[in-house]
Amino acid sequence: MDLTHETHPDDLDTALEHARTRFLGTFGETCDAVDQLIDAAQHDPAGPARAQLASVLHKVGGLGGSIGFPSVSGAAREFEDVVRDAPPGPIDAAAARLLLDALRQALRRDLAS
Amino acid sequence: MKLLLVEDDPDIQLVARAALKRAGFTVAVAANGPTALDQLRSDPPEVVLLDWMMPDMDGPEVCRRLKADPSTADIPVIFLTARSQQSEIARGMALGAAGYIVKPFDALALGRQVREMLGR
Repeated sequence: MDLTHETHPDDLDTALEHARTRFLGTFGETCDAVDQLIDAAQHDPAGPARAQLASVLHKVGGLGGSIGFPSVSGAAREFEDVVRDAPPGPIDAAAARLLLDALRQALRRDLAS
Repeated sequence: MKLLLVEDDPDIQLVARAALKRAGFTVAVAANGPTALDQLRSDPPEVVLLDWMMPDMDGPEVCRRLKADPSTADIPVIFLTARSQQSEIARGMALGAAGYIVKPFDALALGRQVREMLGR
């Protein structure tokens, strides 16, 4: 669904529906991006990937629960905290991928509830 | 009450704007810090709801500049952020913020939370 600023709905239910549709429609791409950033952070620990990974997770964490996906927010925030609190150096890719799986499972939980 | 929402995420903008309008606010939106500062000077709101993490100029910097300008210093600022650690809250309040709403937020309660922080 393509929304422009000129079509911002004033109705909250409509706005939530639009945001949810877009969130669900891009969630796969978001997870793919996280997966790629995990790779990049592992292979170039001094590069921008770790900060970018934390930023993506921060956005997902802030948005998900605000539009009806609380488990996704929880999983994203936990993942973000792990990324931010990790010591300098290559990211633990295996551990990060477990957290990515948890993020995907969180969406399934939210959709089932 | 006129509110300026400063938020770079388009979906948070969408939902927060609708939630605040539903609660009776007149809402303007700025997607970044520099635009927000321009809007604050040209069309001052009665309150600013300010995202913490934004590219280029983050929320704390926007707040610092707003509070340093006599023409905007008295406008209440409420941070809207996923940062819930105590140190971040303390930093926000030390900058002169009137309050702090943590994301994810409850869209149905957002307007009430803003009014409560303003004492209105």
